[in-house]
Amino acid sequence: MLICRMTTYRKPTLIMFHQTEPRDNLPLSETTFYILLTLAPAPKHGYAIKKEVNILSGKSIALSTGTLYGALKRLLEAGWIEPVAPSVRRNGARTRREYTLTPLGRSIFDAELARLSALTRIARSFIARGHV
Amino acid sequence: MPKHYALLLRLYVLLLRLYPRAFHEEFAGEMQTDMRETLEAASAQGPLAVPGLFGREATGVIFGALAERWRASLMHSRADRVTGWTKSLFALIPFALLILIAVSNATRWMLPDWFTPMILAFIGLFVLIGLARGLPDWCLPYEGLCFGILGLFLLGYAYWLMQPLYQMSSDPTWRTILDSGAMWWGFLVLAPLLLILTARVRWLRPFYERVRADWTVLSFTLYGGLPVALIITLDEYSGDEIFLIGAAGALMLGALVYLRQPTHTLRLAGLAGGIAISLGIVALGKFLLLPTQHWAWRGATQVDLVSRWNEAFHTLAILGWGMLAILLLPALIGRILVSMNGLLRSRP
Repeated sequence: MLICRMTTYRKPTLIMFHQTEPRDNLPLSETTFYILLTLAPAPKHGYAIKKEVNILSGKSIALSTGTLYGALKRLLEAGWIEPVAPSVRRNGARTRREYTLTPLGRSIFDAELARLSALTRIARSFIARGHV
Repeated sequence: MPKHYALLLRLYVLLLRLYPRAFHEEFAGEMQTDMRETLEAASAQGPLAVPGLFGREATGVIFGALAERWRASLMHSRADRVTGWTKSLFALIPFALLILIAVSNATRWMLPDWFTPMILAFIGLFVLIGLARGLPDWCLPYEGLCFGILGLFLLGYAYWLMQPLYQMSSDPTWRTILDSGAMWWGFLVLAPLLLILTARVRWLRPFYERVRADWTVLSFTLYGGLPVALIITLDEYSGDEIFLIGAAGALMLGALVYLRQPTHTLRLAGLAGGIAISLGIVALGKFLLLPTQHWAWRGATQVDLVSRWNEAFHTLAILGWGMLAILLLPALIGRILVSMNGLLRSRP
């Protein structure tokens, strides 16, 4: 519902994430890319995402909790990720809420990977030809 | 966890309250748990790592909360409907009538006998159409005009409500300040009555829902009663037409801003500006006109500067009360409605 409203007003800062074609949402910001990357293999909770983004980026990206949850909220609203229902442990305690990629989020992430691969291939071949 | 880390965590929890309520309800618990783990991990790296980390996290929360608030207000504003030009111009007619009356007085142009009944019928018709259509924005000034008139009739009851305030002090200045608010007191009775009515009557319920979502809708309704207030404020004066036209023009402009602006803040600014400028013009008018007035009760008494300032001050006090009645009262009611909604939601 929110997404439909947002697209109506054509505000550049607000229309990100709201296109239906995966390619229309590209390129992704570095933070979004890393969050989707950490969620690609398995669902994770907020702290695990934060830690893994830090490791994957070679410690160049240290997300603050505020930034992370702001980004997660937008990804949830856009339908790129969804929460996994918390399960109940043996001692009766609930596990923390985890997030996982939706089919839409996965297709956008795949499209971004393909885009980056294509760019890298083009660049490599151009440089290789230049050196020949 | 060491004691001073617990203190930092408590501070962090307080900072999380800066987020909009919906965001806080959804994520604050998770953010708090994450922060606890982050602090524990940082403390393992030594005590020097903790202050830097906390500073970064706190800054992240402050900027994140500001961004979320800005975003929430933008979404809220954008979700509002901007009234179209035709409907907006239609909504300005009650204010334009004030200009027509002032021009008629200034030019000594006698309006035909059928004019007043026709105008009253016209206003009554649009009040009814507005009611039948669930009180859309364009009809609110018409409803407000009725409120202004009804408010005068309810003044006696409102006085009774305000008695405790009168008993607070026997200082004549205090009494003058209270008396300045008298013309708005009817709103104290009418605003809650309107909400009860609109909550109860099914076809009027859209209005109640709109007030619950955006209290300025109620403000705009009460704003429609301002032409009545202006007429009463300048009632005893002669030669006041130019000021009345200026004040009515300011009201029209404020109403137009309210109807045509998409953001909540600008809408509110339109109403506040309209009230402030119109009553400011009236205060200036009274200050300038007072020496030229020949009131029988005053006889041949000379008007000194103090009397002129007193008269202007009296109007500014009316302005202050007007702001309270038109902006603060609906804001308060809106807040109560939202809290009641929260209470209802929390029931199983």
